[in-house]
Amino acid sequence: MNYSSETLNIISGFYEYCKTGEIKSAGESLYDKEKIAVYRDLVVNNIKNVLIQAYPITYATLKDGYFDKIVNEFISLHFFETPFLWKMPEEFIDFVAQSKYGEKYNIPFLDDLLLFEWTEIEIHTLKTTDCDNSQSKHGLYINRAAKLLRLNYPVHLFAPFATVNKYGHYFLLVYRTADFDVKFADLQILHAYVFEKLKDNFSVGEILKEFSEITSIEKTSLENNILDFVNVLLKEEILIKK
Amino acid sequence: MDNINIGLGFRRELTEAFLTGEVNPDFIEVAPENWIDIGGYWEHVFNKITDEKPLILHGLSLSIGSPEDIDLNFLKKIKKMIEDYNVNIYSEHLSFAKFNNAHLYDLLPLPFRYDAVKHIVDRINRVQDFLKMQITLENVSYYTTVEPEMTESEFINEIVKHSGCGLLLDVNNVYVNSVNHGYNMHEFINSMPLDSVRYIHMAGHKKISEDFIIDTHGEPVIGEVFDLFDYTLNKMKTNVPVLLERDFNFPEINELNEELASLRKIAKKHVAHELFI
Ligand SMILES: [Fe+2]
Repeated sequence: MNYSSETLNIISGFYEYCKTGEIKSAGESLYDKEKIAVYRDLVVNNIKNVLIQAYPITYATLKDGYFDKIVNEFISLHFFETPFLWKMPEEFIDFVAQSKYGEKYNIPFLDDLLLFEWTEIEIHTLKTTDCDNSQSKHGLYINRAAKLLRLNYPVHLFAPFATVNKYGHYFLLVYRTADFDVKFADLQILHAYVFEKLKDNFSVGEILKEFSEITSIEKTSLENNILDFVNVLLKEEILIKK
Repeated sequence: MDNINIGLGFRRELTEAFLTGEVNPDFIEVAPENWIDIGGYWEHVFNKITDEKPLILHGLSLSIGSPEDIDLNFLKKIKKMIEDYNVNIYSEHLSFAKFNNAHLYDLLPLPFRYDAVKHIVDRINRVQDFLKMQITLENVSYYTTVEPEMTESEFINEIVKHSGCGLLLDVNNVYVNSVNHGYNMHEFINSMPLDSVRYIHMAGHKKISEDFIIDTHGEPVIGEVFDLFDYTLNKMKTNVPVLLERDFNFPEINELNEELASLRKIAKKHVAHELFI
């Protein structure tokens, strides 16, 4: 590094101001306050707009300036790792969860809502062109652009605040079709289990066998239920024949 | 073939116009950061468009003025994109966008100081060695300077001279800076290392007051900036690609086409002039 400590201070002071809106006292006289405010506004608006685009439902749901408050703290405190601005909203999920904003502001579904909204983007943009499907043992593999979410609040079924009293275990399958649409399917726990097994490269036969070992009741209807589900997965091209 | 290259930034809002050929620039420019790691529909569109047009990259996150080491994982991805899409020009900004590896996603101004020149030249060399190609850096618009030891023009000249990088001359930024910092724009152009210019940007801006302009890329190019472009080409010995930057607030497609046509007309005039001298 060739920066003198003086130049380094100028740069770090400028950066810190843009990030937090506060000038370190030592730098007070160095900066033209009106002009540096332009940079601060650009930084805040840019990050905020990308978050609003990624999380439109969260943005519309959080009232009383909570969204702005959380975003401002995010900009000030978070260490932005990705060089790709479009991926930045993913870092927001962890920041919000770790800061416990859901608890603090009495928005229990907040973490689930962010995850739900981000997963749509994640699946929509997931790169599958360089995926290798060759290790699939049974001639079947799960569409790479398919992901199972476990949620505690059914934000995929109801308006966010209507989920507050519906704490439970919900399984949401998010997947992309061949013509690039992102679709959602609410799964029962049995189907979520079967999906995960298929993803872990178990064959349908192996899965059925596992169930025949652990339960003896209504075996045929259980088997039929699983086979019907597998057929839906095939039809929707979530499960693909090699 | 007159070798004139007039390009347009490819933005998602313009997909339809690009796919139907309603806009038909000679090349397109994108920020690699907006397309790296993108699959699905947008990858499909991007490949379709870049199949037909040469691509120039204009990066955002390299942060050439940062104190920390170059992020080689990031640069690897840039290199792959350069190779995958046969890119001849990878341009970036003479600014910084992160500190201690934490990004801020904006172009922050560098202090025009001697130690900064040395530091930046070293980093440019590292990037050029890694990519095995010359990179091209843009004169950015800036709203304030902090404790400068030299002028902006001296700063740019020193960096270009000692690193051997190319210059992306943004003519609108020269205009914006000349108003905001009260210097003569023609003298500024005269002082630039014009032989090192590899690429030119043209854009619109937003006038806030008589002596304060913000570089927005959301307005049409104004007459004075077209004139300065004409003046610049007149001083240059070689022909380089010229880009119309429009990032938001998109007008009707025919307005964009008119701006592209105006740029082409001015560029053509200078090629004709070159042939006769
Ligand atoms: Fe530019």
